[in-house]
Amino acid sequence: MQHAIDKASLGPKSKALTQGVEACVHCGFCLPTCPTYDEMGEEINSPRGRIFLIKEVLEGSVPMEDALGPIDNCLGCDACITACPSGVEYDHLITAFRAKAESERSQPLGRKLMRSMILNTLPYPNRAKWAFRAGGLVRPFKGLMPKSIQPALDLLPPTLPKAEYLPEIYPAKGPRRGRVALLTGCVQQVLAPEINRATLEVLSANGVETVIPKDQACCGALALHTGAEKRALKTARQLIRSIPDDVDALITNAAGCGSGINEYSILFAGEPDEAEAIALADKTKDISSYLDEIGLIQPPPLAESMNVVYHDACHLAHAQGERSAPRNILTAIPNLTLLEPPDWEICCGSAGIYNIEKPDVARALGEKKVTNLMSTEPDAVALGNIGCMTQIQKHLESYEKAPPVLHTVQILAKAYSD
Amino acid sequence: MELLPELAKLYPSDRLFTKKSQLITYETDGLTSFRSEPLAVVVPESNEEVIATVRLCHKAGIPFVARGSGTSLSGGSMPVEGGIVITLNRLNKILKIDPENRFTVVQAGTVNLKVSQAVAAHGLYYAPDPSSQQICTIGGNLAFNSGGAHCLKYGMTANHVLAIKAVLADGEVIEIGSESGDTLGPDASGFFCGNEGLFGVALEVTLRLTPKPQRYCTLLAAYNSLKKAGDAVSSVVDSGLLPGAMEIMDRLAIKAAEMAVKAGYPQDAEALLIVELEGETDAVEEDFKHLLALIENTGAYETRVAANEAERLTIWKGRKSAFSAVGRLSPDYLVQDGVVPRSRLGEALVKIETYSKEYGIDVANVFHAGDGNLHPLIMFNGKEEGALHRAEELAGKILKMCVEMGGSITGEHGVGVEKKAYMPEMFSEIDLECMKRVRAAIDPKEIANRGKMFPGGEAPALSTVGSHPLEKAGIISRE
Amino acid sequence: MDKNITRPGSIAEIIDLVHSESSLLPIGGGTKPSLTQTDQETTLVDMRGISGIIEYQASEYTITVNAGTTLSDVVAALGENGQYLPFTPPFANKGATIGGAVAAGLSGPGAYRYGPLKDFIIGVRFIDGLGNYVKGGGKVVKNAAGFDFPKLFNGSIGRLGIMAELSFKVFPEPKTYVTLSASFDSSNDAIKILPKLLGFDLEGVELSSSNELHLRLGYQEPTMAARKAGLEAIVGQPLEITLGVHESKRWSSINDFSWKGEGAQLFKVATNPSSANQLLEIVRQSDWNWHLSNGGKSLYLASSDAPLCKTLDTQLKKLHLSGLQLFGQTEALPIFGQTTGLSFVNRIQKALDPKGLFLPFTATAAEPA
Repeated sequence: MQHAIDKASLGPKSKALTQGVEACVHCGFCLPTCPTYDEMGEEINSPRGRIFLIKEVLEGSVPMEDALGPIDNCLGCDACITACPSGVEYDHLITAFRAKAESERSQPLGRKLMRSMILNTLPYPNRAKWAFRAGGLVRPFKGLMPKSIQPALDLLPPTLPKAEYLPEIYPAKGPRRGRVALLTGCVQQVLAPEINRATLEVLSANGVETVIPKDQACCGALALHTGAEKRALKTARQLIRSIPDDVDALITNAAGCGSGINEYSILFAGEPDEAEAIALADKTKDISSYLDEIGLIQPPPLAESMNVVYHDACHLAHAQGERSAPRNILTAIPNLTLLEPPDWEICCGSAGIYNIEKPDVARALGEKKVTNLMSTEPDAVALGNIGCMTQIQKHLESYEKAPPVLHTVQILAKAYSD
Repeated sequence: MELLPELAKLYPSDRLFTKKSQLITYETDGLTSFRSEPLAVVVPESNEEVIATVRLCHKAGIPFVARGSGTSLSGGSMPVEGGIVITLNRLNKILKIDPENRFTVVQAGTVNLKVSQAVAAHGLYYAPDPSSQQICTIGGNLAFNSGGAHCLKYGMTANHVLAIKAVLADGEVIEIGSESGDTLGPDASGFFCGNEGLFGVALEVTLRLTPKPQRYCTLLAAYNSLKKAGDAVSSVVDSGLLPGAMEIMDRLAIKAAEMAVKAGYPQDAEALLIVELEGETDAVEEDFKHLLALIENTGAYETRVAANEAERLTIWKGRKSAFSAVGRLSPDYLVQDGVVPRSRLGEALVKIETYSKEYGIDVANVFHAGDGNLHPLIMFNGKEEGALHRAEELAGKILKMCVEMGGSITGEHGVGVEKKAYMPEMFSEIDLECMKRVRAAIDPKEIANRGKMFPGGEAPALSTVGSHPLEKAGIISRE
Repeated sequence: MDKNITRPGSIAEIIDLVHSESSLLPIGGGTKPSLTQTDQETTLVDMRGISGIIEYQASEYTITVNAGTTLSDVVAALGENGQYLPFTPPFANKGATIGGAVAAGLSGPGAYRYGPLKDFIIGVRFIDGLGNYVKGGGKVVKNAAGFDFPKLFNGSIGRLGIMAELSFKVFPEPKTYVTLSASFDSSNDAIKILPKLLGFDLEGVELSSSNELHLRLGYQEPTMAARKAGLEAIVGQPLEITLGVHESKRWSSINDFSWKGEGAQLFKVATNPSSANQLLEIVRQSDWNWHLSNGGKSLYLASSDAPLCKTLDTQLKKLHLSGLQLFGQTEALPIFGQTTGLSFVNRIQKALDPKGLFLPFTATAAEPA
């Protein structure tokens, strides 16, 4: 599309902010995969509409304030990227624009408090643990709490699982085929520590030694995706410093973290340590992609046959373009049948902290997702992202016989141990 | 009468858009070179609201355009400046499926592909398959009589519309056609199709459902010249086989499609030919043997056969993404839609190539070879001074060539705002005057999609600064 | 009422008639007599003076002909190149013209495979009520420019203008046909089969009043046995094969309506399998002769009992069906039953024929203009 944006005024972010506008041909192929368009049927709440809106804001014909609503509505699920034939880098566009918006917006106090509470707790496992416990305590009294934090309380688990002790190095079984570092994740460590445990076991079974750097920090994805750029930079720098040079890859097992690190080129654009950040991003791989690449050691059959429906996490399928590796892994397990749900490309409504900030849309999407998954009559749901896991588990509560929701590596670990 | 206060009585504030930030997102459709800002956008949730809106517009003399997903490539759903946009996206329910009698009744905002998905369990599908089928709506398909890759055998949208409930521009609600599909009396629903929104707004559409073929046999043949691929099409036609689809893509289109969807197309080919046969398993497989033998003699240097449904869909995905994918090769492009008699395809392609060289503008070609429907994609950079102007001149030359060869200026995208200046190339003053009389009988105030199809009249507001090239050339004018 | 008949030999002569006469009704071979019956004083324009093939290039799959050309001439020309009008219009052996087929909107059994006439007409040139010679559509198989007059004239029964030139999309015809037939105890049993035939590429599916179901296939030697077995599995009984001359005679007899009986009135009702079954439940109780065509899309009814014929209008209205009378004395308009769509048609007619030169689409004869 043609535009009259003054690129020079945008600084290092100018490429991210204009590539999408220039590449978009307004064909509308993104519309059917956009969860907010699906829900609302309004052009302004579609990827194409947002691109148009961003263009107008950057051209100066629409005030930033008027664009914030629809921009906030975007889940950042990146489904539109998969659908786009013209190569619009929507992820970079929306992230860069959100950072710009965040610095310019005047916010109501409630939203500020909410965001600050989230960004000060979730990325820090210890703080998160305490926050979840505190939240669990106050949940019975949620009616008395400010409206803006009620959805957050709804998502909290009634009890937290026991913390897993992670060693600094987890050795490989058999001949060593690789050495990697593991990003343990913030929320995941607290809500589902068994995922990291399973990851270590699976890597080990595949002859891979894993380093778990003690001083690692949050990747910054949560802050980055909400536009809190400075906070994201700070924590990302700490992460970069903590990863040793002598590993083949930095492994992520939460898709949100992986896609966040993938966006370091945007976050660090124009920063002095841009090269280092991009080098780490290049090294970062989802656990499924890594295993698929090195070649999975044939797992033994599951003790009992199992029908597993695979849910594509947006941040894995759309943001990282990885749909085949998890499927290759699951279909490699004898005695497992892989099922595919309808409308795989539509987000489950979790999307970072979206389910906290936009509970109505998130609820509608969650319900749709669970209906689609359950239509395949699965014994278990497999996926690769903690956010989706929480969201899907919550919406499965209304089912009498809800299947367990597991990370792909948990199923694989079970096969190796059966 | 003031229209906005009346609309505000009809719609709650969250379904009546009047803020600039909301309006601009409805400024344009799939043809972004043309833009104009509407007065308001309404989001009706019932037929009654649509009817009431049309009646209010008629009373106030304010133009309106009904909009589905805004994928028109001819500017068909672009609003009139100061007019109303009626978005039909929430009127997207499938009201009835009758598998025994093979029809379905859907609201106009229903997405084309959703119809096929909804009836798939009955072994049926909705045959017309425009490349944008995953998002374009039945209402838009109907208004522009959309085509697709399978038109030669199955025809266009009008062939699959059995009945229509619509509100005419002056507010009369009509029900035309029948569930049977056999007409008695003038084929009013057939005539309503392709009216480009000038008659009014379709509300509910009864569609013919087609039995899903038992078997598809699809091949992809690579050639080192466009001419060879074109000649191959002629041999297929002359053989008496009736393929469901025959599509050709040239080198640039192959490159773009491959970048977009990684369909695995042979990258060194000058032309790719897709031929698809479909029908009863036994009969089609037998025909396919003949087809393969025939293609072998057409000089294809590589022929691939889709081994399964997934491979077939990959072949098609590349083809159907080709238009938008050209966005990767060029910042701007114009898609043309002219038709030439099939036997003159080769001649037409040579001419397009000559024009392309003459203007120094790259043209990618994707076309429905089976029915002579060309889609030259004229690539330009809108930022360069005069580039759009030159691209449009080139487009005009191609359209004139199509008419001179006995074809049409549009096969399936419609005239819209983009090609209205070329209507006189194809139709005489008398023909156009007769069409205008029909329009006046249905829409005396000319409020339904004003500014489309007929040459002259008010010009659209244009995105480019200064006068539009067509304006400079004296083809369109602002009144 | 007395009618003048005139036979113009050129477009100019037709235009002269438009300017000199006060009422005109075009007529072709007269094979569907009810369509040109009227109480109104009018001049019949015999279109057979405007005949002949204008343009036909087999490799284009298109043909352009003058409206007064007989169907048999068109069919013969196409046949020389192995092509056909896939909607196989009726009365080709009885002198029907292509213009008459379009005006009647009448298709034969072939419509089952690829669709009725309206799906194949791509261009028309007609003289409107003001004497303008107007073009709509084009000569190529795909065209989306301008209002679709070709579709509109399908079924126009000579009341929207005088068609002079018509263009069609045509297809390659199967080289040989074979017919597979089965008998049923009741029409109800046979109609139940119809929806199950989906997925089979049949060239015709016809059910006669003796409950015989005829399925027509394009003959393809190596696959015949397999296809027959597939169909037998659906039909639930062995199918009897007819080939050669017997085969083609059967279908031309269907297309000539030889089952109708001498002097009988003939009606076509637009149906689908379900509504055809409903209507048959009713007419079976009376002395109707019937034939269900095009896989259940057209139910033809014939009777010589005039009072009985008069009841049909009421029956159709009850079932929300519409009908077209082809033989016998008509009311003002041969279209009857549910006719809700005519209000739209009337508005278009006013545009094409503002002076009311052609007959109206109203059930009662209009006052002369």
